[in-house]
Amino acid sequence: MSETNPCTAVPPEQGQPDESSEQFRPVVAAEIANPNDALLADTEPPISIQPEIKKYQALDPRYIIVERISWGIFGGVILSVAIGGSLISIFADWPPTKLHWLILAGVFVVIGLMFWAVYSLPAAAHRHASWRIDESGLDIRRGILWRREITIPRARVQHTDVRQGPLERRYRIASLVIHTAGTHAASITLSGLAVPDAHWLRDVLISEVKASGDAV
Amino acid sequence: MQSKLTSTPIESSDQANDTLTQDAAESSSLATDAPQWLHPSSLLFEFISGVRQQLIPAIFAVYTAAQWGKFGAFFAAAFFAITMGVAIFRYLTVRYQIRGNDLIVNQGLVFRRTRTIPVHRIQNVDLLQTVLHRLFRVAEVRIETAGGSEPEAKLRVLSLQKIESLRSRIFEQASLQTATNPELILDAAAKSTVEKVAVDEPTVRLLQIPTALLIKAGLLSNRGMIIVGAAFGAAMQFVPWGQDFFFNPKKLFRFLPWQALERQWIFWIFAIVVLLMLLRAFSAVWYVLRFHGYVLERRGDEFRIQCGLFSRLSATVPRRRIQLISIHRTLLGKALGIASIRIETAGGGGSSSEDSATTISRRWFIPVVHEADVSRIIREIRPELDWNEKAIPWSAPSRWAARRMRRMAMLIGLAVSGLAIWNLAWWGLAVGAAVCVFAYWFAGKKASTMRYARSEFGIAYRSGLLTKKCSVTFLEKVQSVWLDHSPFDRRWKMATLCIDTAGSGPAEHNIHVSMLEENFAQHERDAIAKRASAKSVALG
Repeated sequence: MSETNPCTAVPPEQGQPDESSEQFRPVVAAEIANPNDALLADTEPPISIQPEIKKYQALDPRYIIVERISWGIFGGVILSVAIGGSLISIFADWPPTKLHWLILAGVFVVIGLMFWAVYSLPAAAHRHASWRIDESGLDIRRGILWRREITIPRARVQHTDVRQGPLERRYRIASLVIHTAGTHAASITLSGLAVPDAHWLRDVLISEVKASGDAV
Repeated sequence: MQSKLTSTPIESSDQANDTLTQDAAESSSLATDAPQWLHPSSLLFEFISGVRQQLIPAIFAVYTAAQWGKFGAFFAAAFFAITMGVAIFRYLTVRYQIRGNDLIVNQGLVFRRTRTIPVHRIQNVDLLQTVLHRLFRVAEVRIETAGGSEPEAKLRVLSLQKIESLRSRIFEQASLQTATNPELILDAAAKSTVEKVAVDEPTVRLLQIPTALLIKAGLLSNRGMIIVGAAFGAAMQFVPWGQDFFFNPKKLFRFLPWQALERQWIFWIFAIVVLLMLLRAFSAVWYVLRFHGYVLERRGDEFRIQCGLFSRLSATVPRRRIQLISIHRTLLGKALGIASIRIETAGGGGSSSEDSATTISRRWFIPVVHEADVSRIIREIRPELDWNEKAIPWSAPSRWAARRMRRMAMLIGLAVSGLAIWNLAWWGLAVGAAVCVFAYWFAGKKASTMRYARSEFGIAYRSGLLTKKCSVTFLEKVQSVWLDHSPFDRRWKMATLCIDTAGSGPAEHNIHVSMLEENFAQHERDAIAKRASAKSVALG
């Protein structure tokens, strides 16, 4: 396994064979096929980062679906309350007046806007979000109108979580939460990673935590 | 009790401490102490704190005792008995000890809690001493680590002798461990300071603030609002005529010829001046109460602050834990040549309020200092830093920054003018014009105060017009860096460069450098991230 083949060197995700995301996985060095090896070896930083990954990587496209569903659920709850409320208000003092029709029209406009937002905003968020990792640290870009580019120096990572909600589990993506000793950005969430990517990133970042001591 | 104390190797006197440190240095700091009790007067202080924590039930208990006779007295007795019981339980179950390299605090009987704090992770050891504490020659000890906003361990209360030995144990062990264990040395700065281990270092007195200077600083500040606010609240609650005093003074000062006075503007100016003077006088009182007898000392690698007139505070801040230094100068203070210096350390002080006693070491590291002493103090905090604000190669924000800020100010000015004209007609036009001119001038001035600089060891940021704030942080303290681009930023090709450090907040000057030129900000972010992740930081 010492040879590095950029096409086959993807770490196999145990228990979850997943063909569909093959082309979105980062190309990583072969030595970390088993993440435990990386943790056991404590001499050199055992994880070498391929040059391909030093460019910005897009998030997993399944992130769009997950976001649409979760925002759709959220919007659905709000919408049903709004529709129910306006219907009750109309039926309560039947026959409806002009105001009631206005309210109903407003509700329909809100429905339209919500559909548009739920459909297009996750895609836009996906388009504007990306990440990369190199020797100096992890870079994350995100935000549609208000954009933010975060850099976390590798030596400053305190600990990391890989988090998966039920929807994320269903679509085999995960969120990586990186904790630093900072105040305003004490925990930084990078969601929409393919599960193997999230585990790989966690291992890379943690290998540095082992090497350095107190970061405060 | 006393016999228990004397059986431990570290008892009280300074000589004992010195021999101990040598022992510790030789036997590589693996000494274990027997578990220690709190001071017996803890009972009293736990009780007081219990009553204070449940102030409303306590007041209710006293009130009912007064009103309801026997039943009330029984209720009050039950309340105080329960509080006392809790205090006794606390006193009987709390033990602390230093074992190896850890401070261990045991608590509880049924549900036991053993808190182990690695000594090298301890950030601050603060002491709080009210008048009552001083009577018993004890103090409350708060031990803080980097995490969270609450102290990691609160020992209420210990005798001063035991505190001294505990404190020296903690800081000597921390230094020893860092010195002997190279893995724990993260950055070159820590290494350089740790090499001068605080074992036999003499105590250097760095700064004393005479009361006259404190009064001067108080007269220049608006701290008095706190006392006024507290007095207001208390008067509303407890004094029968308190509400009249604030809402209907005519009723109270009946002897004044109100009818005649209301038309005389001189009276109102006089009244406002008197109020302002009172406010300033209160500020001076607050400063004297808080900082009377302020002394800043350095012993090896740690700073010690002592201050307070009635409640005395003694805080210890290890030098290498200082994340950010911030120098504040108010408009009047600048004219009189005085400044204040705040620092930030990891842990604590984040959520507690401005005037709480525990935040003094950070928010009020040096409440007031002569301009001439500033660079000397900063050199004490960071020896490699030759602080001269004028000589720093400051970079200005984008050249469009002033224009953008002026435009923003004009929009606000126009909105205000619109409202003024709506309400006051022709007079409104004059008011609006004045507001616009002032906003235009103010925005331009404000833009000219924003400056950013980076050197091989750190980042400096200056901003503010009324209170000029100048902060410096260090590359090995940078936790994360980010750039923000708002839609307006993109329009003007600008970005905001933000730097996050641990414990940020008490200095009230976040390093969020706005309106930098986009390319420059990108370049700076990359450079900072690269240097922050480097293992050793070059020192200038």
